[in-house]
Amino acid sequence: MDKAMLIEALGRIVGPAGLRHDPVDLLVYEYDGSVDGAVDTASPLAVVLPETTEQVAGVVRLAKSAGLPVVARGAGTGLSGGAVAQQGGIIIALTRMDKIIELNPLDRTALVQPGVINLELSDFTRGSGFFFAPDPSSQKACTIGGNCAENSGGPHCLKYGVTTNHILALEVVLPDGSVIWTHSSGDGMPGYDLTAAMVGSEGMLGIVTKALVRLTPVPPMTAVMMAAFPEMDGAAAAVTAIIARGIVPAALEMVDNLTIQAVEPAYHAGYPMDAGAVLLIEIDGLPVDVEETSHTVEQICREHGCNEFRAATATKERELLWKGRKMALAAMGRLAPNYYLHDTVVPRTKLTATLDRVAEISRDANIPIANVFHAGDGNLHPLMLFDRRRKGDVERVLDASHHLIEYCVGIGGALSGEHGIGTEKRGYMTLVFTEDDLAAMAGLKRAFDPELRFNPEKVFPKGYVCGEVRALRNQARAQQLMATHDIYPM
Amino acid sequence: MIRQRTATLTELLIDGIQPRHQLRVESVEQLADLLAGVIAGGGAVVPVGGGTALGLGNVPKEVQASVSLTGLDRVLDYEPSDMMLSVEAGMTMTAIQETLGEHGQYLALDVAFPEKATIGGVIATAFAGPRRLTDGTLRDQLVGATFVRSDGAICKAGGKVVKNVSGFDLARALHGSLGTLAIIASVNLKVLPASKEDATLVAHAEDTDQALGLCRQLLLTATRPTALDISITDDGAEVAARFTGGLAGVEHLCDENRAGMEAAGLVGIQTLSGAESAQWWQSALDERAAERPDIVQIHATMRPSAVEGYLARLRPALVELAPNTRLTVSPGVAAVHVAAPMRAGASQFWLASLRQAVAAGAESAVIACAPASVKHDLDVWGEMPPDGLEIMRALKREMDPREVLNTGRYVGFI
Ligand SMILES: Cc1cc2nc3c(=O)[nH]c(=O)nc-3n(C[C@H](O)[C@H](O)[C@H](O)COP(=O)(O)OP(=O)(O)OC[C@H]3O[C@@H](n4cnc5c(N)ncnc54)[C@H](O)[C@@H]3O)c2cc1C
Repeated sequence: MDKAMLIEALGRIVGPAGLRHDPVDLLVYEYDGSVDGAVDTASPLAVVLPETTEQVAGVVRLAKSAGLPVVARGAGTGLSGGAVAQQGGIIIALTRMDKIIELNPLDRTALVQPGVINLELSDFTRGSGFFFAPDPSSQKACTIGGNCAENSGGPHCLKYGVTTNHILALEVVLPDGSVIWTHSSGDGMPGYDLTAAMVGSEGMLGIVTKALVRLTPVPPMTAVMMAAFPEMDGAAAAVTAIIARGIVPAALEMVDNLTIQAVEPAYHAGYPMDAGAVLLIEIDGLPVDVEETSHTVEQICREHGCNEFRAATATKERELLWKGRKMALAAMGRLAPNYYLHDTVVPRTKLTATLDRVAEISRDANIPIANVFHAGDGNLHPLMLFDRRRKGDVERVLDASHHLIEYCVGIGGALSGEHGIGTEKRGYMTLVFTEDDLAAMAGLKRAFDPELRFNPEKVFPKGYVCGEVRALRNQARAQQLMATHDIYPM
Repeated sequence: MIRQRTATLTELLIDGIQPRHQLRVESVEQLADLLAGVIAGGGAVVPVGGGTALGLGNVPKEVQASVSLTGLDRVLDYEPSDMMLSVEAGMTMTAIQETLGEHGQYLALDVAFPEKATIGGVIATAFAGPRRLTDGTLRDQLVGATFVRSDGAICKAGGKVVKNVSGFDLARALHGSLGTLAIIASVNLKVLPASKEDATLVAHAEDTDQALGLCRQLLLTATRPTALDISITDDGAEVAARFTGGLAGVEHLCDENRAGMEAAGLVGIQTLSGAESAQWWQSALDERAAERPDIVQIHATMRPSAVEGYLARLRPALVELAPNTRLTVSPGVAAVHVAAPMRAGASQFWLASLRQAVAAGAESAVIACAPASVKHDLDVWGEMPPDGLEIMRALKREMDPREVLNTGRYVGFI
């Protein structure tokens, strides 16, 4: 099938309004939210914007007969290159499938299309006393489909869990164009838990066309506390102490001095400019419990050197305290033209040591690193600040990134806590996983997608997914070598 | 290396079939060696934990070997301040809770016969007691696993931190897979601080509708109980609501809900607290889940909003078909547990009809336990194949190409 025929056939399925193939129109689909330099851009042959499951299935069947790769795309806010069509082919953008189909308060569920924006779902359900717990910082833009694919997290995942804990069932278009509903073993449904397999699979197994999501009741009371510390170490120790005391805050976030410098002048959240670090602690539940716990939290913070503590229960004040945290990325432009956002996770007891190591890496590489992150989960987001135009900056950032990832993995951490592997970190997978581990994952991939056409060149290091053992072994060795010789896989 | 106990072993039967070999392993390496050595086509290799739920699954054709995992019972890593526990699959739930209890923590799950049930078995069967209403299942706590494939490859997925999106979530995909994809060797679990207070309200309702009405009210509040069960009896229904958490909060909830129960017309309201509360739920769960040759158990699930209509249809249907059947309803998680006494001379046809009645209006109806004589040839997981069965078969072929792990016992006779 030549390109003209393909375009015509796609147009018949989705209509002219749902089709983009002009090179200029395709430009915005060449990248996602990832830092360029760590992820390559690539252009698809065409982008379709279907409105129904049947149209998605139709496009997938056409792609199958034409032997073309298919890449699903939500809002394109992904930070690991997941929605970029590395091998060209067809991008299916699900942004026009944006209906909330049903809300069921007794079941505590909502049935939604994948293009529904994360925050819109919470806004819609709040009137009935519910919210959708996973709340990525990108929640004003990112889609539920993207959240499912990346198993996204957010500040409130400390208490409420990540996306996978909130997805009950999915309608999925499979690579052969058939449509199934996946179920969850958590619901007592028989059969393999294909919902678990789908969530976090980065668009490589199937395309989500509907999601039955769990809703969480808005707690009777919420208190947000800001605790300022002269040093980061004190704040990190307070985090460990709060968790060790048996308290599970709804959120427990840390913002360091460099971030405060960026965010406070812009958004006036009330963080002291001279603080070494600020903790944002949210406690929710029954008023009696919230009061008692807040008191204990204040005590713990003070014991660890907190010199300014403020608590807010009114919505407006709470929102202001959160604003500083939520707008942190947006404010970074005040410090440097570019940043590279990391996403490693370490055991919570290793926070202090990890922050020390981050500071050391920053000094060694002469790259400022800001820290604003989900401290309660041990999920770090070091932001490396640089100027792409300055000679040597990009190289030094990539080098520093490498040291950071290697350190975190070395102390029992994870490559990524919520942003996914995509193309960005696929080269690092062999740092964590053996050939056998990856072969098992590849088995899951082949069970869904034997022709390997859904979102190729993602997650698996090159060559892994086809299962050519010898090639794999050599590949693994090469990856390890790359890792030990500080070569960043581009 | 691998102990093969024969003479001293209590007779182990898998749906009435005696394994040709009864094996036991004490390390993951032994398990890998053992699996690498099994013969394709020689019948199923059945992993065995505490043996509390061996009746779950289709009747296998042949059993090559049973592999006891109770020798894999070590804590691999536990740092209380990380709230992360890494244990081998054969560790019992009681041993786990005791380990955690020493540090004021617990694993959010209640199971039947915790002193026997192993963590690997609980994950493989996706078992979860009434606390599932607020705590979820182990699927929610499972962040990583090491498993052994039938070719002897030792694999891991996930990790030891609470948030992790590095690669596909194979650990969670093993939850509920009945050991048919791989044998779980160890798991990493999120743990929680133990709640300070535990209390249960038990009350009597005139009839099922009254009980369901009350539960509906409770379920619509933001502060749902930790667990909520209705046991349907001859003269009405018993409702039990459990509350756990901080001292003041639990007291407040008990007072509030006691008043709610009174207002709804329930009588004989009792408050159980502390160990008494915990014991009440454990006994109820043990009694319900006990595998007995004279009782057929079927689990039905649906959406919570469908429970009322479902029960209204089911109860008349059971009158003739299965008199004296006990129904326990968990309205919040929409699970209905059916315990039907075996009829004298009951046939496979009877069981099939019973399941059909239980399945009507439900999303699933799984025969959790029934004598092999009546469940033979039935797919206990459901009359209709689940959506995605082709993917499931493909996954089985990829993970266990020699088709030995619990073969034949799973959905669609996988
Ligand atoms: C400023 C900023 C802050 C962020 N903060 C967070 C954060 O706090 N926590 C967090 O977890 N992430 C965060 N992210 C990352 C990103 O927003 C999330 O990964 C988000 O879930 C992606 O959603 P999306 O709709 O933009 O997906 P896209 O970027 O369009 O796609 C992401 C992946 O999902 C796949 N996909 C999309 N839709 C579907 C579908 N319907 N079916 C199957 N696959 C699909 C794509 O193929 C791709 O692999 C942030 C990003 C930015 C830019």
